[in-house]
Amino acid sequence: MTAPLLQVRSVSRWFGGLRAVDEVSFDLHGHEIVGLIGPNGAGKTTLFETISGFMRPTKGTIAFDGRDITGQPPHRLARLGIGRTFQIVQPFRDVSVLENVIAGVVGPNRETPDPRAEAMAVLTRVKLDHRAAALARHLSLPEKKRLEIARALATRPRLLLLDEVMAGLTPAEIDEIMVILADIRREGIALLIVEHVMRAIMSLSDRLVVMANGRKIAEGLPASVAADPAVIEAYLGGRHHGAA
Amino acid sequence: MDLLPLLPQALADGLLLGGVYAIVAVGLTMTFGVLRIVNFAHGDFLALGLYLTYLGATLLGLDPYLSLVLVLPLVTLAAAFTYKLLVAPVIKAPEHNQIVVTLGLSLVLQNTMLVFFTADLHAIPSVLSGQIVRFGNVFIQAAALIASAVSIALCLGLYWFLRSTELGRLIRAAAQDRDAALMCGVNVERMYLLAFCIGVGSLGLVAPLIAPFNYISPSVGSNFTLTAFIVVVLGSMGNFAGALIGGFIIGIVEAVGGLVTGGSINFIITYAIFILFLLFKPEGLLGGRRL
Amino acid sequence: MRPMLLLGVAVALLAGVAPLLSIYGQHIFVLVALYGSVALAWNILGGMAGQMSLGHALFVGAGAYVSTALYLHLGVSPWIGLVAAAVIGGALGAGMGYTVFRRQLSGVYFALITLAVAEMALHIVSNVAALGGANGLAIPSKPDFANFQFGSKLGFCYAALGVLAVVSAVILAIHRSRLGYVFLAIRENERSAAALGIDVVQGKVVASAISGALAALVGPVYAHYVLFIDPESVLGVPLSIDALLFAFVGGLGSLFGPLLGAAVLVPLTELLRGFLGGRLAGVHLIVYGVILILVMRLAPRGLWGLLLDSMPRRTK
Repeated sequence: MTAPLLQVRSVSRWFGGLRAVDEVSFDLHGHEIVGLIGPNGAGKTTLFETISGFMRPTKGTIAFDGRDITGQPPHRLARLGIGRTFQIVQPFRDVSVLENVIAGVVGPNRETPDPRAEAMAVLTRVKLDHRAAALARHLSLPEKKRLEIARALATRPRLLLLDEVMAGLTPAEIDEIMVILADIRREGIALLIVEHVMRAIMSLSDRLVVMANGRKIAEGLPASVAADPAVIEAYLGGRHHGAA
Repeated sequence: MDLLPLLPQALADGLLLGGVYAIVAVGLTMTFGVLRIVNFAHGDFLALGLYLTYLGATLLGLDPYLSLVLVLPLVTLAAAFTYKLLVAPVIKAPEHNQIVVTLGLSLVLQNTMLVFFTADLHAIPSVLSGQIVRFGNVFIQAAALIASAVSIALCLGLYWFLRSTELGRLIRAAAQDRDAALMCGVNVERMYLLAFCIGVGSLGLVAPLIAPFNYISPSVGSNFTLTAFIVVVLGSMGNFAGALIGGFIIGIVEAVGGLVTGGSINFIITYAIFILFLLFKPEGLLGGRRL
Repeated sequence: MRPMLLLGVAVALLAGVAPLLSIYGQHIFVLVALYGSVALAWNILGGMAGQMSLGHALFVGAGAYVSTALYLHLGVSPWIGLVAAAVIGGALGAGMGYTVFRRQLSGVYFALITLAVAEMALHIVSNVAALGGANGLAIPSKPDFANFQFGSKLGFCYAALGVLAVVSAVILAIHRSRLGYVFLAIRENERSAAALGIDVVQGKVVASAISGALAALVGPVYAHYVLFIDPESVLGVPLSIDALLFAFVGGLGSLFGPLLGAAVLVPLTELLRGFLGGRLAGVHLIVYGVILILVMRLAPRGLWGLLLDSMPRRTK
């Protein structure tokens, strides 16, 4: 087994007395899809924020491709190859879809001979190429979600963090996204997904990491995690957004 | 230093100047500190009040302390109009909209007064003009003393209002979280309107009080606006006691600075303090809520 | 490079028009070019990168005073003074930007700081005798190309046009480069920008430096045109507000909207001033205020936006 692409080691994030994330550790290997699930308030988004550089962990370390990235700012992580999407999609409203993606192509300050062509290629991968000239604010919600993914893909990530990308979508739209994510994985990009849409994350993920109350309570294959009594207990009494 | 004997007078002048700054900043504490509304025309409402007081004196022969009865409601009315027409529509828009709209308002107000009253400085006679109170070697204008006293009372009053009355709590709720307040049945729009009118309308109270000892000119407003923002930041956003303390500090710094250096260096010190605070201690003197 | 070609053509056209104008027309030409340049420079920071400055007069004044002081006290040619002005303006912009943006201050707090810094500069200069204090500095009239005094208004038309051309070229260059996207992303959503690999603080500092350097270029040209500068005229709040005003009315964030704003409002002001004379001194400012409010409420994308909306839709 090759060295893990992402190593999260005893990461904690406290807000005063509240331990939003408490000693969470897991690995993620290249070409893997790891799903991060748990009831609301489990600390998943906070963990995301620390991995993507928007928050500094109170304790613990995060390593990417062998190097310590704990506390590095988001733009540096993006340049290293960690991309992310945001839960509340906010494209650059007053410019075109293509311009949005070009921003992602040139953002990491890499050598790019033809940003426009590269952006169009990305749009084709998420099946938004027909909307390239449209203004971002005229897009429907599923289209905006795909734009969000496209923008992150444009930065040529090796690891893509997806934050509830399926929220608010119809089952058909969810299927579309799942196809896109499977394609992305086939291209060799690892995915770390936070999701509440159970059927999607169960079928997409190679492995699941389950969080509750800031701690990791289970990890493993989707089938075994689903049968884990601790996991069932964590979800009992609370609601999870399950699509059929 | 042969300036030492002059220090007590400078301190006294500073305290009274500070009282004026504080009382102007109190209103801004309400609109900017609590409501987070950026109003660059704040000081111009003060100028409006001063000119209304002037009109009261020249047209109706009213002493400023009497014309207060007219000026306060008129300025409050102007505040209400301003809120409805200019502020409410952009309250959820990006911040720069409020900045630009109120800048435009400031231009309109200031220059309308300029056109009507010219740039000549005016003074308003009052029963208390020229009345001096003496503490040892220190001479203080009686009118200034009254203004400072009212300033303290106003601060305490608004603090108590926001903290302890039902209406005050509603305003704070609306300001903290619009949507949550709406869901609890709070009429957010009306609370904002009320708070804005209190904040800006208070200048209708301030103007007649400072008229007896302050000159009147169209640009009086903009001088006070920036200083008021400085005081609000210094005193910690939304903190009325802070506005009082901040006002007094700025007043003393300017008065003593003027004594020590002469010229307009004292303004430089005020701006420097402001910049340093924003850079290194944005939560202000009294801490609490960050910017 | 086609937009650059278009720019060249536009500049050539304007250069051809200038000699055909009356003396008064040339005066307006100079003012529009200079104010337009300040507004365009402001727009790089305020419109493109989204950081609203209320103290841009600082840069114009710095440029004017540096160049004029060097000329009067050390005999340095204003042509060199132009370069010095740009350097100082850029340094001020970078320094102020770095100090402020590093601490995550933006929006109204950035606006207030720029206002305070500009006011501070005004008061400091007013108290420095070597810079003329509150009375300002007068430049003796010695028409000579080397002295940046052209003997005729036409010469200044070309000088002002030159500044405008430089500013416009920089704006076009930014727009077509990665920097344009950096500014766009920062303006729209800083978090998204960071997630796309953009160093947001650095981007803002660069915007501030470029904006300051270009605004400072206007200073020396203005100084030698009017042959007099004082704190109020080159460091005062009215100039800062003008920059913002022309940019907003013309079209915030558009490439050349600010120039359009200046082209409309400057002649309007002169017209009003001519009509109403000195008595009603503040009227043009009332008009400014009303226009500003109307634009914000009714046409937030300014004149440029109205122009674009009235044209048939094109796809890229």
